[in-house]
Amino acid sequence: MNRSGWLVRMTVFGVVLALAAVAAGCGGGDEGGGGEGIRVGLVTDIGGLDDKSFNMLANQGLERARDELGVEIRVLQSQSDADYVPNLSTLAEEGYDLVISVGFLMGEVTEQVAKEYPDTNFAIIDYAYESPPSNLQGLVFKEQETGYLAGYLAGLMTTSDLERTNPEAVVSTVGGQKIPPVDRFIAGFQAGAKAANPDVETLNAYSQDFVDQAKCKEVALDQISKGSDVVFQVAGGCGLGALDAANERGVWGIGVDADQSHLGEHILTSAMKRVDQAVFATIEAVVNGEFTGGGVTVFGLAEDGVGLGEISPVVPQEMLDQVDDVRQQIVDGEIEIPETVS
Amino acid sequence: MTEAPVLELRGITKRFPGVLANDDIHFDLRRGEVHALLGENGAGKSTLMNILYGLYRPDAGQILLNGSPVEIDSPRAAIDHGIGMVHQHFMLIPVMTVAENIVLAAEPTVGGVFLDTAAARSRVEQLADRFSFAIDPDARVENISVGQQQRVEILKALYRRADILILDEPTAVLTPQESQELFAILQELRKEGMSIIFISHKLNEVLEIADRITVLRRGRRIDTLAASGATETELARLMVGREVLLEVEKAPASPGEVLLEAEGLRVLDDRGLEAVRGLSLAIRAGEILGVAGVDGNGQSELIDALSGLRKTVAGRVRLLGRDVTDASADERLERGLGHIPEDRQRRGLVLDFTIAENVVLHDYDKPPFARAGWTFPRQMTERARALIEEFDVRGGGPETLARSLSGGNQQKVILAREVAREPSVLLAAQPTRGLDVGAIEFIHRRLVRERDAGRAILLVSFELDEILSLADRIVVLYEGRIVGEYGPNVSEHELGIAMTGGRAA
Amino acid sequence: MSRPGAEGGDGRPRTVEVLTAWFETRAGGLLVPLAAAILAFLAGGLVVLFTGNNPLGVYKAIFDGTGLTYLFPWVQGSERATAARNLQQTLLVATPLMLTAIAVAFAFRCGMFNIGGQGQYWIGLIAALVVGTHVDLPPALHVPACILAAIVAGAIWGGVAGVLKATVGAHEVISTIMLNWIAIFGGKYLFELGGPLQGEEEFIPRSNDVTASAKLPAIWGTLQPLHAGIFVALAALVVYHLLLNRTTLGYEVRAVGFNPEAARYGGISVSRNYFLAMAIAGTFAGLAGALDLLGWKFRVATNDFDVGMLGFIGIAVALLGRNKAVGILFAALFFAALQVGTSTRQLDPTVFPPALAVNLATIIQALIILFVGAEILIVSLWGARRYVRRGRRVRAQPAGGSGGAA
Repeated sequence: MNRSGWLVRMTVFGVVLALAAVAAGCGGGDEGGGGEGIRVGLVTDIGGLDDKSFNMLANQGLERARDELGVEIRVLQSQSDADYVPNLSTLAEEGYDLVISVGFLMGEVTEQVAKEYPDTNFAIIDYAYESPPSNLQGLVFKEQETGYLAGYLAGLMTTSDLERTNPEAVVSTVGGQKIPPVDRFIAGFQAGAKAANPDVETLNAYSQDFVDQAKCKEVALDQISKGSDVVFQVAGGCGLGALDAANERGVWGIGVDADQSHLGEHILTSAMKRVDQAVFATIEAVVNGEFTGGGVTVFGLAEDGVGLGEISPVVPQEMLDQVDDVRQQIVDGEIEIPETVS
Repeated sequence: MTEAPVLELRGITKRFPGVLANDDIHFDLRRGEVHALLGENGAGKSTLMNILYGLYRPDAGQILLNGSPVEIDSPRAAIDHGIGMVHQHFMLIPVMTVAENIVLAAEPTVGGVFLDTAAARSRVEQLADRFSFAIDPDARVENISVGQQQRVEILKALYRRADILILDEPTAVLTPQESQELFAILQELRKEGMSIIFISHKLNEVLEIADRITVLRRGRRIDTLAASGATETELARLMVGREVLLEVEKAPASPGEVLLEAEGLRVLDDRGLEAVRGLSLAIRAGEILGVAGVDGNGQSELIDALSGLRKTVAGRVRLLGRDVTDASADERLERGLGHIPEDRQRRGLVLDFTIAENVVLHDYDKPPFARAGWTFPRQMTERARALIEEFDVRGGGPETLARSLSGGNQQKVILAREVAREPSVLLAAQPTRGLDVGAIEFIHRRLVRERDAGRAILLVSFELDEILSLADRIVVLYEGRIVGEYGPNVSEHELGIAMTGGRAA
Repeated sequence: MSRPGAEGGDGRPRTVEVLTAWFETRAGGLLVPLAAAILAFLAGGLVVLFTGNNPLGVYKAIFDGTGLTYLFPWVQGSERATAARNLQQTLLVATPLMLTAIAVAFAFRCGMFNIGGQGQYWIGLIAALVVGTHVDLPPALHVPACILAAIVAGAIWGGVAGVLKATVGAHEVISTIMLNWIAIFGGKYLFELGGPLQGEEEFIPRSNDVTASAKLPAIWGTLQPLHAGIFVALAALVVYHLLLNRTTLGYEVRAVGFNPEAARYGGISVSRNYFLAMAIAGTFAGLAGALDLLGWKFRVATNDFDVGMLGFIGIAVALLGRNKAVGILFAALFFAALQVGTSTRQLDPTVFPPALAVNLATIIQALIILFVGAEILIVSLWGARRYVRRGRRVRAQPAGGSGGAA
C-alpha cells in the first residue's frame, strides 16, 4: 500500500467521522427515540467491560438506550481506583446529561463529584445513599422478588417427576457470603419454594467466596448428596462451580444476576438482576425529563428490574402459567416476601 | 632491500581525548618474518593494531600493503586485504564445532542456504594439515582447551586467506607448555611465508620467537632492532625508558620480633577438602618470608585463613602477640594487617569504583573519610591524589574508574592502599602476576622498602625468580604442609625438588 | 586493549574533544533511555496504524491527556482547566512511582533485583491504614505516625527477603515474588466481607476511611487533588541520592553491588548489606503505599489488590531512570504521564477505540522496557562500529581528562 493511498483512506475516514459527529450533534430526527442531543456517560469500576457482570450489563443497557432512544453514549473504563474521580469529573466537565457509575465501590467518589457538579445528573448502580444530593440517585434491586419466583418454580419441580428430579422434596441455595443482597435472593427463594410445596426442605450454605469455583462446587455436591435436586447459586463466579456440580450429578441448577441459560440444559432458569434495565430506565427518565435525584430507585418485578431468565423447555406450560400468576401477584403487591434468611 | 615490505605503516597518529595514543609511528613487516611489537601496558600497541585491523581510523598516517597505499576502514576490509587478527579474548561460538567456527561468515553452502558440513570439514582439515595443526574439526569449541581455541582463531584467519597475522598478547592466556606449542606453530607459519606481528610485553618470549622487535613507549616508536644480539636488559631499558634493575637490590634483613604466627593451621577449601594441613609459620618484623610452591597446594587458603576471610578448622593465628583466630577480617585489618590479594580484579578492587573510592576500601567508615555515617568524598579524593603521586599510578586521577586502569596501575592502587595504612604485617599474594617489567620492578622495590621500614611481609608467589630475588627466608608449601625451609641463597634446583614433593635435606 | 597513558598526550586536549568525550560519557546514559522511549512510541505507532487508526491523532490525544499542555502559556480557558486537572493526576501517579522505583533501584545498587515493590507497597499501605483508622492523634502527629508505620512495615517486608538471601541464600527474585502474593492475598483477606479490617458498611468488601486528621493536605485542585505527598517523594529522591553517595552505608551497598568478594575483602559484611538494602528498599515502597492512602485513596477495597501495578511499573521506572535519582524523577513523570494520557477518558472514541486504549498504554510500556533492556539493539541501529569506538573512547577519556589534573 503506498503512502498516498493511506492518506486518502485516512482522509475519507476522517470525513465520515466528521459527518457522523455533525449528524449526531444536529439530531437526525429520524431515530425517533426522543433522546437526540442527550448525552449519557458510564464509568465502570476496575472490573472492566468484559466482567460478565454488572459492568457488562450496564453497558448493554446503555447501548440499548443509544439504539432505541437515540442518546449519545460514552463509556470510560477505570483501570485503577485512581481513575474513578477523574473519569466521573471528565464526563461532568464535558457536559454530559447523565453520568452513571457502576458498583458500590464508587459510592463516596460519585457523591463527591456530584456535589462538585450540581448541574449534572448522576446515578449509581447497587448503592443506596441515606441523603444524597438532589442530582444523584441510587439504583438498587428487589432481589427477593426474583428469588421468590425461582424458588416457586423449584418448589413445583419437587412435586413433579420430570427429568433431573428425585422423589425427595429438597432444594438448596449456595450463597457467597451472608450479606444483605445475597440473603434477599435466598430468603425469597426459600419462601417461594415453601409456597409451591409446603413440604419442601430448604438447605442453605455459604461458600465464603465469590471467585473460587471449587468452593461452591463442594458445597453444592454436599447438598445434592442430601437429596437436593434444584441448586440455586448466589455466589457470582464461585457459583458457577455449584452449577457445574448440578450438571455432573444430573440435577437442576438456577443461575443468578445474568441469564445463565447458555451454560447448558441443566439450567432450570436464572434469577436475574437487570442492571441493564435499570440503566435503560434511568436514561429513559432523563430523556423524558422525569429524572429525579436525591433518593433511591428500587427496581423490582414491576419495573422489570429483576426477573427470571430463560426457563428450561422441559418445564411444562402448566407450571409456566403458575409461575406467571405468582409473578402478577407480586407485582400487585399481594405477596409479602421476607428479605432476611431466618 | 630487494622487495617492498608486505606491510608498512607510515607516520600513524591517533589521538584520543587528552591522550596521544600513537604519535607518528613507522613500522614495517617483511614477508616471512615474526615482528614483535613490544611495550608496556598503555604504550599504544593495541591501538596501532586496531588501526591496522580497521577498528580505529588514524588521525594521520598511511598504510601500505606491498608498496601501495590502502584504506582500511573496517575489519571486513582488513580481512579482504589478507590481514587476520587473533584477539586476546577469542571471538568463538562455544556451542559450535571447530570447523563451523572456522568457516563462519564465509561458509561453503549447499544450494546457497544450507551449510555444507562436509565441505567445511574437509577444507579445515586441509588447512590444519598444511600447517601441521593438531586439532579435531568436529570438537565443540566449549570442550577444547584455551590453547586449542587459540589455534582455531589462527585457523580462522588462515581460512580467510590471511597472509598477515596479528597476535595480541597471545601467551597471556596460555600455560608455559601451550606457549611453546604456539611458538612451534608460528615457526611453521613463518616457513610457509606468513608474516606475523606478535604483540607482547614479555621480554623473554619476544627474544625467543621474533626476528625483529619494535619497541613502543607512550605512543612513540623508540627503536626497531634485530632480535639476535638483543638482551633483556636492553629491551627493558627501551621499553621503560630508563635502566631497569631486573635484580632487586637489597641489604640483608635484620629481623625483629615475631609479628604474625600461625600454629597447627588446618583450613578447608571451597569443596570442603582439607587444603592446609597442620601448618605452622612465624614472620618477624623486617623480613620477607617467601612461600614457594606450585599453584593449588593451599596457598590461597593459607592467605585467606591468615587474613580472616576463611574459617580455620584447627590451629591458632596470632597477630602482634594477640590471638586473632576468631577475629573477622575487619578486626585484623584494624590490628595491623595488610593484604594484597592474589586476584586484583575479583577481590582487590571494586572495578566500578573510582580510584578514590578504592583507596579507602578498608577505611571508608573512619575519620577523616567518614564521621557519624557520613562520608567525605573530598577527603577520599585527597588521599587518592596523594597516593597516585607517591605510587606513580598512571592512566587516571582520583575520579577515574579502577576498571579503566591497566593491570600494573591497578596493582599499584592496591599496593598503595595497603601500604598507606602502615600495617605491621603485609600479606602479598602474587603481587606481580601478569604485570609488565616496569610495574614489577616498582612493586618489588616497594616491598623491600616496606621490609626495611620494619614490616613483616609474607610473599606468596608461583614465580621462583620472584621468591628468590625478594625473600629473606623461604618455605616450600606442598599439599598444604611446609616441606622445607631455606635461606635466601638456596638454589632454584633445590627448591624445585621440594616443590614437587621430593624432600630436600 | 592497551590503554593510552595520561602523560602520553602532547599537552592540552582540544576543547571539541573534551566536549565530545563529556557528551559521550554523560549523555550516553541519557540518550539510550531517550532513544528507547522514542523507538517504543514509533513501534506503538505501528500498532495503532495496524488497528486502522491514525497514530499522530492518538499521540496528540495522549499528550493532551497528560496535562503537560498546562505548561504552554497559550493554552487558556477551559482547556487550561482540563490540562490542570490532568497534570494533577499525572503528578499524583508519579508520586508513588518515584518511590517504588527507588525501592527497585536501591536494591539494584546492592546487586539485587527487588520484584517485591508491589507487596511492600501494599504492606505499607495497610500499616498506614491501621494507624489512620484505629488511632486517634492530632493532625500534626497522625500523618507522621501513619507514615512511620508504613515504612516500618515496608522495611520488614523487604527485610524478610534480605534476611532469606543473607542467611540461607534464597534468591531475592523468588522470595519477593512470593512475598508479593502473601501481601496481596493477605490484604484481600483483611478487607473482604467479614475480614478483620473490613469497614462499617457490612456488604462492601473494603476498609473504613482514614480519619480526617490522617489525610495529607491538598496542594492543587479540588477533586482528587494533588497532595503534599509529592514533596515527600521528592525529598525521598534526595535522601536516596545522599544515602547512596554520601554515607558509609551507601558506600557499602555499592561495593557489595559491584563486587561482593571485594567488599568482603575490604571488611564489609555482605550479608548485613543484603538485609539492609532490601529493608531500606522496602521502606521506600512502603512509603509509597502510605502516601497514596493518606493523599487520595483514604480507603482500600479488596479488588484494588487485583489491579495494583505501581510496584511493577516501578521496575520499569528504575530501569528507564538508570537507577539515578534524577533519572527516576523524569522516568516516573514519564510513566505517570503515559498512564494518565492513555486512560480511556483522554482518548475520544473517534480517535481510538476505548477498548484498545487500555492495551495501548501497556504495549508502549512493554516496548520501552524492551528497548531499554536491549540497549545493544538500539546502539547497533546507530551503527555497531561507532559503538565499539565510543565504548573504547569512553573508557579512555577519564584517563586523560582527570590525569591532567592529578
